[in-house]
Amino acid sequence: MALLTLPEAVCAAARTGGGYGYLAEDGRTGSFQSFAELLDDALSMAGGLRAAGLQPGETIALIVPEARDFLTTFLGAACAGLVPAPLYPPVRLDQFDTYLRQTTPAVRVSRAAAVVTSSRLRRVLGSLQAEVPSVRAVLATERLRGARLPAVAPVKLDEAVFLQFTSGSTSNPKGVVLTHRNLAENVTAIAGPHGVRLTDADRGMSWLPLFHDMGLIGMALTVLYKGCSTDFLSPLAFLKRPATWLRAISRTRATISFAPNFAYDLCVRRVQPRDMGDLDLSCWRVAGCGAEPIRAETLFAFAKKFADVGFRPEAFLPSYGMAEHTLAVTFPPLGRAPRVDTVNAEQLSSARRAVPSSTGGGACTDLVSCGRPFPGHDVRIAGQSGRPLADRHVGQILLRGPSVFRGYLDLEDLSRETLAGGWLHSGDLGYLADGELYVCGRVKDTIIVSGRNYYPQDLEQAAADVEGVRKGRVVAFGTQAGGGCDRIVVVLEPADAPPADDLAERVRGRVVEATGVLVDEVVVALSGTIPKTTSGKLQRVRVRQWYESGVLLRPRGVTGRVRLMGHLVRTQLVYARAHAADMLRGLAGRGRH
Amino acid sequence: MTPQDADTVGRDVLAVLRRVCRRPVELAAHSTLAADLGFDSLQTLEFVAELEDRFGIIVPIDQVPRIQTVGEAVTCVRSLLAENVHP
Repeated sequence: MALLTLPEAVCAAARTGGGYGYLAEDGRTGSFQSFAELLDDALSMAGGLRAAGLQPGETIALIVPEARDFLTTFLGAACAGLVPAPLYPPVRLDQFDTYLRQTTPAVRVSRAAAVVTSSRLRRVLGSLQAEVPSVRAVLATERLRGARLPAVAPVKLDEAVFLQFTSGSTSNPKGVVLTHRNLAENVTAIAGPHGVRLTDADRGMSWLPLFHDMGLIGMALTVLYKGCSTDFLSPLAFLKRPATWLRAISRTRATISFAPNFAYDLCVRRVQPRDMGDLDLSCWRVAGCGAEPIRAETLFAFAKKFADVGFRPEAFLPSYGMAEHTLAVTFPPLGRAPRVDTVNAEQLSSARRAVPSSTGGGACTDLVSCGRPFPGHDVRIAGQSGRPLADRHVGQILLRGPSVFRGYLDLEDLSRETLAGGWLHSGDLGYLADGELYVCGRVKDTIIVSGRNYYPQDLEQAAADVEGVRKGRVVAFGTQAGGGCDRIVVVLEPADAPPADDLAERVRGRVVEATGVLVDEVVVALSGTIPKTTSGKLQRVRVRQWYESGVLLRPRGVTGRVRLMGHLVRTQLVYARAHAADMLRGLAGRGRH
Repeated sequence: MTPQDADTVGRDVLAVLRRVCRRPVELAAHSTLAADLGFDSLQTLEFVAELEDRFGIIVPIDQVPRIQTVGEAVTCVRSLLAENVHP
């Protein structure tokens, strides 16, 4: 089958019966935009963008909260030959300074010629024009309709289709450049015989943010290329009432829906029996799970809780992916219940080997298989020297094939390093067993919460703002000791002796306020314990090792309370809640799927 | 609304908040959900959903960001209850 560019795919979709449904907060009412209407709307938008002086090949930053507006603008930009760069929208207008400070670097890196947003946000985003030299205008989507472009712009498969800004810290964003070919190859693989085998009879359901790769590519663009339909629910509606997602699947008879692990966990904990009376999930044939480490216990708990309303464990599709690989990397076979590998925990962490755990043989770890690579794509596990490792040996996951991105915008050295030797270096650790991939850690010090990637630097900066914290002596890291998901730990030295009683609490408060991340444990360490090095990474690795082996020294009196706090948070706030972080700001993870 | 009703609303909001917190907290009207109680936005939304169930109201999602403190939650519930009485 010939690969289509995105504008060609929009034109082809307009001849099918598919479209996008937009559900209201209750998940019941909503509007439908057929792909024929979408093409019309996109061409009007394309005409409006051209009339605003934007030329084919130029980039526009997209900050649009509403799904219908977002998709029309995104596809309108593509039809005009522009390269959209979706960025997460603000949620709290009262914290606008923080939002602008966090967003400006990405707009600058993208070299966007314009920022396109809603008219409500336009007033407050206007300052981006003065801040970023490349930005000639800040435009409101509502005013860009009318002058219909007669035909979609001719673009080539190897030109850029859009930029994914889901890698890198907020202060140092990395723009992932994807081509039309990358996109077409990846959605074809997702929809195809080794993917979810998408047909006209399928219907998607998604509450995922559209500025996240799993929401945009996985749930919106895959159905567009295939000509079937997806309904969208706002992320906030799901987060407020997780049952809304399941009810919407039941009511629309959706067959495919993807979400990160935490979403399934949230349903296990928050969906009440009274919400389940009229649920019928027997239609749900692909329950995709990705974008963050997958926990076997979550999948089993979900399957058990919803078995009576028709959910089948064979519907689960635990998968692996990343933005630099467009989206999807591996899928297990369709219709197979999750395959779990129970391995010896000690061997996994110390010997870097996944040794199947015989009964009663010490602590063990359950890892969920993410399946196999798609045809034409390769996965390899490499040791530190770069040579391939045998089955069940843990190393870095390397990827090759037509879905691999072209490079990071304007970051040549980093791109060369990431793509060294013709392989995409994922930065994730994993092993292969019987041809299937198991993901078990990370080379880099990124912290993943609810599918979104956080960078220790951002958390450390927020913590350092708190009075009573010693300058340069704050370290943040994620630790996976004791489970699949990251627990976030901040270790700091106090500026005063003895430290203020509420120092740890104030640090937690400040970090959640500035970054949306709930820190699991704040450790106020003894002065002089955090090594002063010029490498934040080295500092983090050492402190994490000390933390994990329990040798961090804490001042008398602080220890017990902070420990107790951490314990309360872990046990009473319930594990995944502490990890299900700031979804208001989106799931813009670098995306493991 | 009588002063007694107003007190009941305040007390019930605090009861809901304590349940969502799942740990002992000291609460004052000016306590902020994020900085003082360590709520992330997910917990804020759970709190709002619980308020809806308790009081039989709907808090529109665009109003959720306005609820930053305990006092603002009480105010929000009161005004939505008042709207229900006089549609």
